[in-house]
Amino acid sequence: MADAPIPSVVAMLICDQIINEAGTNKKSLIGIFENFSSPGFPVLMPRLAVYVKLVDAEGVYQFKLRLVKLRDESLVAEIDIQATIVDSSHHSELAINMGNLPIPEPAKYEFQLYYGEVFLHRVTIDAVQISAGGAPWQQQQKPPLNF
Amino acid sequence: MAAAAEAAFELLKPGTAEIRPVGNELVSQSLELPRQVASERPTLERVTLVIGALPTARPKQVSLGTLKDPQYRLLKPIPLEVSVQESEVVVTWPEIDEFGHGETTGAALDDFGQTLRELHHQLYASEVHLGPDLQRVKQVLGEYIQPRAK
Repeated sequence: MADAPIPSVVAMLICDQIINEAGTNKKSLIGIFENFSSPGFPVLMPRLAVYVKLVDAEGVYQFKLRLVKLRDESLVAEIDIQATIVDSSHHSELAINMGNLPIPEPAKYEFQLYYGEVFLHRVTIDAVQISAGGAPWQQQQKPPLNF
Repeated sequence: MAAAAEAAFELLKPGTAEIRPVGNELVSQSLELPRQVASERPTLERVTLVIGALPTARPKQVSLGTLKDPQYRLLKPIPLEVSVQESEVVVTWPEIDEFGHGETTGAALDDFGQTLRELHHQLYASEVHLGPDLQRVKQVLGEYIQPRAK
């Protein structure tokens, strides 16, 4: 990895799921988001995916994806990914599908991508607590009071 | 809660869009999305998760691998020192005495990257005349930063 060039991240997106089309390798990113809400915390996110598009990558890379709570920069989760990229003339794409990712409390979080100990990119997401009735736009409006 | 978490990753090749003309028409007029066949869903495996004690992810040193600008690429990582001053995170490159700051390490790294891009732009401007100190800074930047070919 020491001799491998530093890859550049040209896109990093958070979504519900990444689907790879078998014949053409086209990717579909389903449900791209940057905020999410839950009536209670801690909560497990049933599914979450991180899509990363890289350039200038060639060689063996030990990537690290970290989920960090920004308020105190505490580490919530860390995933190690080893990837061998053979041809730097094309973009490379990483698709990381996750299930049951724990979110400890409502706060701002950040997915940080490293290769080895080298910082490459970050994406912020916001976890918001809502009332049990759902988000404001989901709550049924009360009829006006008649006097 | 941590034991239930799982993940899978794939390294994927770039996709190819296919246009299939109908009959003798060179361009398909169909507005329908092409039929897609999803590849097999990857099996999720348990991953290392740190939950409970929540150690800080703010390191004392960090290596920066990006300037967040498609015009520049880094030839080698920039070693930075991380400190907290007056509730702000400060990242410093001692070799040329440049720094960036922000509410979080990520924000400080973004600020540092912008500072470095501006510095590189100024020092490599064709009409600029530099003293010995700035010549040295320019030389150090040249060892780390490479403009991309346009």
